[in-house]
Amino acid sequence: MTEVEQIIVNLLDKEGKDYMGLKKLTNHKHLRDLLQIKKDADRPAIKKKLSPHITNAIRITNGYRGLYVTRNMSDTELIISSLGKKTPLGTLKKNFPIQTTKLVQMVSQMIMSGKLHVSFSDSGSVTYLKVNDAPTEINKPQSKTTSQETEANDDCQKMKEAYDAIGGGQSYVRIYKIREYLDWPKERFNKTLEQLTKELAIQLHAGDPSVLTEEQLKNSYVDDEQQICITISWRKK
Amino acid sequence: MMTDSQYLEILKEKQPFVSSSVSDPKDHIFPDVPSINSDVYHSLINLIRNKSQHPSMPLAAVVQGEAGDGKTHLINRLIRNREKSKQNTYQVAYIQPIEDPDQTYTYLLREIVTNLFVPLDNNRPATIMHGILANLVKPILAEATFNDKNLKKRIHTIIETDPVNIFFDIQLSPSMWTKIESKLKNQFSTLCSASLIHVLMQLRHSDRLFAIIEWLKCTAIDAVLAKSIHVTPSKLLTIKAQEQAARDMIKDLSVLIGSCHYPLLVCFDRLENLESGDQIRSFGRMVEFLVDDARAMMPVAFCRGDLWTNILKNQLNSHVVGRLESNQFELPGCDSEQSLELIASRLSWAYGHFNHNYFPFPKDKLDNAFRDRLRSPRVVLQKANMMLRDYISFVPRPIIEQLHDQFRNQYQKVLNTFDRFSPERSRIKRALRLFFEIKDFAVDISTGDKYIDFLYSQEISSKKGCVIIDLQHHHKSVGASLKRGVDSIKNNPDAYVLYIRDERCLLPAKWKSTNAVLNQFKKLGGHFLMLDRNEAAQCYAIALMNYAIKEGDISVETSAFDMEKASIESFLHFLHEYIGHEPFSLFKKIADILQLRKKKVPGGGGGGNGRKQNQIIMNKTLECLRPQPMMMASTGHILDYLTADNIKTSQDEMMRVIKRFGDRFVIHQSKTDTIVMIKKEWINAQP
Repeated sequence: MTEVEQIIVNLLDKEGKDYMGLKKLTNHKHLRDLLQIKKDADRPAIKKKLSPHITNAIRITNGYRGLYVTRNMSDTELIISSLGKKTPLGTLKKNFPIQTTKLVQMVSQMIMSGKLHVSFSDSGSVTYLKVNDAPTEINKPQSKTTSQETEANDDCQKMKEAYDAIGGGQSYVRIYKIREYLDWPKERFNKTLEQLTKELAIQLHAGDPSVLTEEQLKNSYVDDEQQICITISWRKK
Repeated sequence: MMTDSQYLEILKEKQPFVSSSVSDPKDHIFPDVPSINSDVYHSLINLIRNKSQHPSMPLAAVVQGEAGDGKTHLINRLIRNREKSKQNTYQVAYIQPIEDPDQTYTYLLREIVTNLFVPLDNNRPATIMHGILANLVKPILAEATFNDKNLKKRIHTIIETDPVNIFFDIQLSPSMWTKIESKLKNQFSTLCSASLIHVLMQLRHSDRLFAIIEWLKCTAIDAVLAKSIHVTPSKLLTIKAQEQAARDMIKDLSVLIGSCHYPLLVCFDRLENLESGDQIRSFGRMVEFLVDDARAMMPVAFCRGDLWTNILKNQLNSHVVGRLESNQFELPGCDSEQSLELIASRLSWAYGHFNHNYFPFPKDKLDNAFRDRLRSPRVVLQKANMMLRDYISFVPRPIIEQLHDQFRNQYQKVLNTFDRFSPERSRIKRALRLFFEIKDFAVDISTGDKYIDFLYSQEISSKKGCVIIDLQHHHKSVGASLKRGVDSIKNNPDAYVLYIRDERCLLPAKWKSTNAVLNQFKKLGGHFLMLDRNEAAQCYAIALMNYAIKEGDISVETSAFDMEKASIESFLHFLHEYIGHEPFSLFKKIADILQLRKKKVPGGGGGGNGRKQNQIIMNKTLECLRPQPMMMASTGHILDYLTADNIKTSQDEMMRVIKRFGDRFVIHQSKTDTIVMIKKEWINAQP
């Protein structure tokens, strides 16, 4: 963790938050000195100066009010940690570090996968969200007694379910979408993908990276020949 | 008996794994491996069979596969096997992507007609259209009575063996041809226009071919051309009327093709080149029209899976998507057996015999290398090429030179079959747009004027102007185009107005008033450029190569171990370096008109200090990327890293260095940024 990251993480800890507007960083004198920015620096200028200091503790996101700095958690984790017992969707999206369209898309996927519970006000005008405490098929904790092989097979099955849910019967499903949907640790996701590839159950496709954003590319997959793969097709029925 | 080293010499010379792309589906350079994508091929053949048995059945299909999965190769197989079978069971029309969505049906008609006039083989002038007509004439001739018994016998033999020779091998009396024509007109009296039959019946006169083709394309033709095929000169039409005429012509052609009971497979390929929503919807309109109104024609879209699922489907109407997806096929990639079969076939091609036992590869090495996953045929060939480097020393030439070779091949191919490339405005427009773009001009294609192709301007030099590409054969239309040029100069005397024609579209001296407008245009400072055969071929070759690059169909060797898809940036770089030189005479002429000088590539000299600076930038870039997730980062991020380390450089210089060390880095263009990634061999290697 760089010195700048350490200071920002401390600031977030102090405020009990997972994210803050980028502009807020200019309130901290030591940070201003380290980043060589002025108090009135705008967000793009702060981003430019901050980027070289980022390794893996924080990240910069584009959200409701422009640029934010967030802890390096997945978007799903950010949503879950921001929800109370009964949070209206309208409140969640305000000042959230993920843009509204993407946020709504992610929330829908989380509802479909059983991670979130949804309820409505009597008039139906307000949508409330809360984290679903009952473990779902996808985030259910693994039994300690389950053998590694069974776990791996379960993961393959879960990946197929995610593929079907996102693809809706179509092939060539984008890997970053499955990754976001499953929200597994990187190693677990990649291992499952590699196993399925080896079993010839799926085919990895390079596709055209120019249709994805940098973040989406980073959430895709690089194979052992250092080739970026952006979609998969399920081959074994 | 050849020695091992002699075999290796052959491989070094023939490079059997280098080219994996089929840039033209009519090329049959490499042997086909039938087991690859065989399920999809047979499904398409079944579909064609259904269509020929039930012509009124509305059928369409989409074949999905990523770059290198063999989409264009599958079209190649359909053409190759149809030619081999010598039976007219179906015909194939290969449609390049549309450029001008305002001319959807006019373009579709032009492409279909061009395909219908592809020669059946190299030995005679007969085309697919002759074949269709021969099938219509055949039953009439079979029932006709002839006084000359020898002639009757000969006619029956030709009908039985190769009916297309009716037009070339026997001399029928003019009255017999008139009788056949009138019988055909009766047969199709309510189904298609009598003038179409009248024009097609003149196909036996090879000197009328040009006029017939232009008439079929609904091009406005003048009195002389019209007289040569005995039709009334066409009127100048509005775009809307022109589109309607094209629709009617396609429907009429479909009726004739349908009555022969072999459908025309209309293959839409390289859909990545559809850049705007309008172009995508234009493609959709073509599909919908063919399915609903041209029943003898069956549209098949060959499309990248990701493009289809995530982009095209969202922009096409549900009716079109439903039609295409009613027969949806996926190209599944090669398993290890198919991979080895592909490698064996390329080795057989290089050696000229099958008895090679995979030499120089040990079979178990190949088994191990290809059993771990499904690969596209292109990736199989690329991997085999890399493996070949263990046996043959090889230093790849610069990418720009490889692209130059590919261009020369494409250009030569166009020149060799120039008759198949009838004047096509959109291809010339594509090539000229690329020229202006690499010369740092802003190009605006939304002119809202059917005569003006695009406007161009350059802020630094304050140069601006417009391009008018006019391939019409009608004096009124040509006059209107020229008048638009005159008006453009009058409205803007500083503008460089370029009026461009193909020399096959003449401007006869007897068009006095049209020539007067041309003289006025020149006098006012307008520039008239008549493309000769070479210049037109260059434009077509540039446009076709551009489509192929966008599709990811052209591979280049980037290091002794690696091949990758040529990027559009490297193509533009190639054009930038070569386009002002011979033989690009058209572009040289335009550069002279605009007084453009060749831009110096910054840092091209490369002195000692420059080399040291390049090394520092390269090392620091590696250092920056290694801790990054997936060892990739945006160029902005790398530049910030370098700047933070007190390395004085600009984004341009940094990118130039990264490109120069192409063996170490891969550059990807993402939607938001340019991304740089470390190559496999350099993940751990020290610089």
